[in-house]
Amino acid sequence: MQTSTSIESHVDEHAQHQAHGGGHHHTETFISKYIFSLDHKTIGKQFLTLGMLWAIVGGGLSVLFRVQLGWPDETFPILERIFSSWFTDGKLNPEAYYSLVTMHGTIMVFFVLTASLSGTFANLLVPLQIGARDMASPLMNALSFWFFVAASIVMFSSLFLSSGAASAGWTIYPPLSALPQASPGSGDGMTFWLIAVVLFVVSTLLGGLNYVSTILNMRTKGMTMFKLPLTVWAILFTAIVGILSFPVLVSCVVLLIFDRGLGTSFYLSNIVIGGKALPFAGGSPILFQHLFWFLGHPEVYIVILPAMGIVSEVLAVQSRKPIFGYQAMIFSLLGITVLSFLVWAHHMFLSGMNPFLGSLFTLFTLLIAIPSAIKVFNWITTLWRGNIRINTPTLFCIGFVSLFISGGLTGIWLGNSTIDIQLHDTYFVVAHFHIVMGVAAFFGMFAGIYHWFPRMYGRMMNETLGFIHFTITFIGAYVIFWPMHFLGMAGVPRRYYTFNEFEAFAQYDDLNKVISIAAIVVFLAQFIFLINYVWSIFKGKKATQNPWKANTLEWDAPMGNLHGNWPGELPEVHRWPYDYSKFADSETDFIPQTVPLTEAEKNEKH
Amino acid sequence: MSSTAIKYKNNTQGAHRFTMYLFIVTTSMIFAGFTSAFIVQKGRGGAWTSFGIPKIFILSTILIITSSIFLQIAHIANKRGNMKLTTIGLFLTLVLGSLFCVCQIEGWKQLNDLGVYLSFNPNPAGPYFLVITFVHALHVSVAVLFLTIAFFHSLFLLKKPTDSNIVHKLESNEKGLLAIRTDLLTLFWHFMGILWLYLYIFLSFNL
Repeated sequence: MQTSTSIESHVDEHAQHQAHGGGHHHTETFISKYIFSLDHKTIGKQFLTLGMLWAIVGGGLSVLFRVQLGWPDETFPILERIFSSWFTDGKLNPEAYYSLVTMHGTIMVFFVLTASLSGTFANLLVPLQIGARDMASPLMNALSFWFFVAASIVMFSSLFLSSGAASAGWTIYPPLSALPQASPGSGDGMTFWLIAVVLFVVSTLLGGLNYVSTILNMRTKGMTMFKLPLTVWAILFTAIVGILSFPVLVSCVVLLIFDRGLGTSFYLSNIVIGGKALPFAGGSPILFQHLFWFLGHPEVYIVILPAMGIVSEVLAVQSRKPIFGYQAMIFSLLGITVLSFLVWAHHMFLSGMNPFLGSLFTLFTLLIAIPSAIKVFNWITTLWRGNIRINTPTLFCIGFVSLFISGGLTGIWLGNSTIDIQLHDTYFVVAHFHIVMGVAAFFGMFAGIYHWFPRMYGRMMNETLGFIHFTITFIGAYVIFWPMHFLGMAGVPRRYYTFNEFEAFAQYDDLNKVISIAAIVVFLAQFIFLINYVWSIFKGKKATQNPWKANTLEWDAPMGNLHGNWPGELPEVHRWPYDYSKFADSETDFIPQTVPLTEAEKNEKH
Repeated sequence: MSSTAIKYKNNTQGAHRFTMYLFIVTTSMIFAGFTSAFIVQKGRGGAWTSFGIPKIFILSTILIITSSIFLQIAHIANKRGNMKLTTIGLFLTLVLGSLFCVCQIEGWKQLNDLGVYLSFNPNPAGPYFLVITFVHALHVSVAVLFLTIAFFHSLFLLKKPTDSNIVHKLESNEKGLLAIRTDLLTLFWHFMGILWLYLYIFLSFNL
């Protein structure tokens, strides 16, 4: 206990030392400052950097299999020269195709949109926005990142296995994932996948435990729960969902590892491979699906909730209006959190489970429309008659709202167990989840990066490049995923290597080409963002202390990478974070959280 | 920086305990997953056949509960500055905790002799019992590792001469660290005991 006080007093001394010494760093080497850093702002940037690398890999893989789907009859000798082990005679191997689809899903869901989205913004924003020196445990925080690195190394190296990476889909359903002889990727590739995911869960839990205890224990004076910005609320609920759901993935994976290596039959029953009956008996593959989707469904909320928080905060700042329905936003987050644990079996309507269970899960699934709709209405009403600044963060937020509506509406279709008979495992599902959690979450992330870039690097990102990036990505995303709804309604199944054999789907050849071209264009457009990002770090326009004129505490802390965040004492909070355009006669249209209430405001009943 | 800022201390100490509570919740969720899988599988019937749990698991139950009492004594002694009692308490917990793991291994061996084995067992009840108890024992053995660290830490403080000023200062820091260690360890160890009780009762009733 004394140590914790001594650490804290050290931080205080350190911060004061910096304030007087003009930013002089004592005994900090490059390695301790940028690599094995314990500072939450640096760890946030580390998560972002690794996440960007993963996004390039994950997006690149999708381009490769989109080439196969768009031009199944053509050959691509150039691609064979680069990816020689995945191509034969200029064409993608079917086994490689399944590996690429699996790895694309795994990388995007876990490594980019879970680890990197939460990791970046929780680390960057939580201590700054609640007015803390750092996380509750900076060491655990750093460990969380380094476990993510370990998971990344294992997962990335599996791409280079001679037998190929895991190929059972990101949902790794047994028996495909449980029997090494089932497919080339089910051997070493699957083993690497499982090891990487266990490391990944450790990383997520270390981070999540830390975020929750930081938010609940380390808020500065005056920062009550209902004065927290919505980003912090969203991260809090995200972390709670992660804490409750990821351990169940561990139990699921432990049983799978036993089935793979030690001859148990938790998920396996009466299987014949190559004319030989295997000695497994009595297991249930549906049990795996229940355990997996108990994580798998909350997982999609782990992806989307931080994006929702970012959008709520950025929209309020950029439209110079208080967020509409602050408490409604919090309670709808709570509603989504609770409901996320009650809907998992809607992924399994046709797995052979009891149809009466299906109707129950349909009911809960459709209930999610209520908190989601509350959030959508509140974002739109926040924009309504606002003094909107049209800049890149705003555009990405509006894009997010648009995508969330388009993707959310199809969720109502898929949530119905009867409609799901026709639509399950078709491109309709692919379209739905890519729009609502994939692209939408990316838009939230982009909005956050463009908005908090000055906080991270003290410079602004280039607006023109931002506009171009937004326009291509927004239009491109719809061109990719909108036609997939029609493919799905026509019954085109997902995960197929080629549709050449099917007369019924021949008419969609051109549509598939359009989708593939759009996918390649959107992928290339992300390099505009990357160039903008890297260029702006070094050459961007210098940012002022509070470039967006926002109320939250991260803009109160001095810019730069000050260890301990505030040079002197921590700020005291007097008001909620959304006092924008409050007084018509005031010179500025914002009142930071550190400004005490006026006499008139005190007399008002809040 | 705001001109109205006043000094406010962050509560990192409470955060440590709180983080441990959260960790306990995550660990509970692992076993919630296992026991629900157990119930689902049992409900499917099939080749599921119950078996008697060997008596040695009663001994391990007694061991882990007694060890919890010793650790609580050590924790309270440490708070009161009684380093000798702390060290003895930690040592006894360490011994009993290790014995618990030995008992579990012995129990699995006895089950193996009774025909309750892991690989290619037509009766799914056996593998469930073995995997659930194994994952619990894995958690206990990691906690034993941390107990060992705390024990040597306490022993180190007990043996160290306290005549120089610098050592005094160092020691007060070290004592603080030991206090955090025993505090968090005690929480987790009690949880391990309660979890084992739950698993034992759950498995006895369902097998």
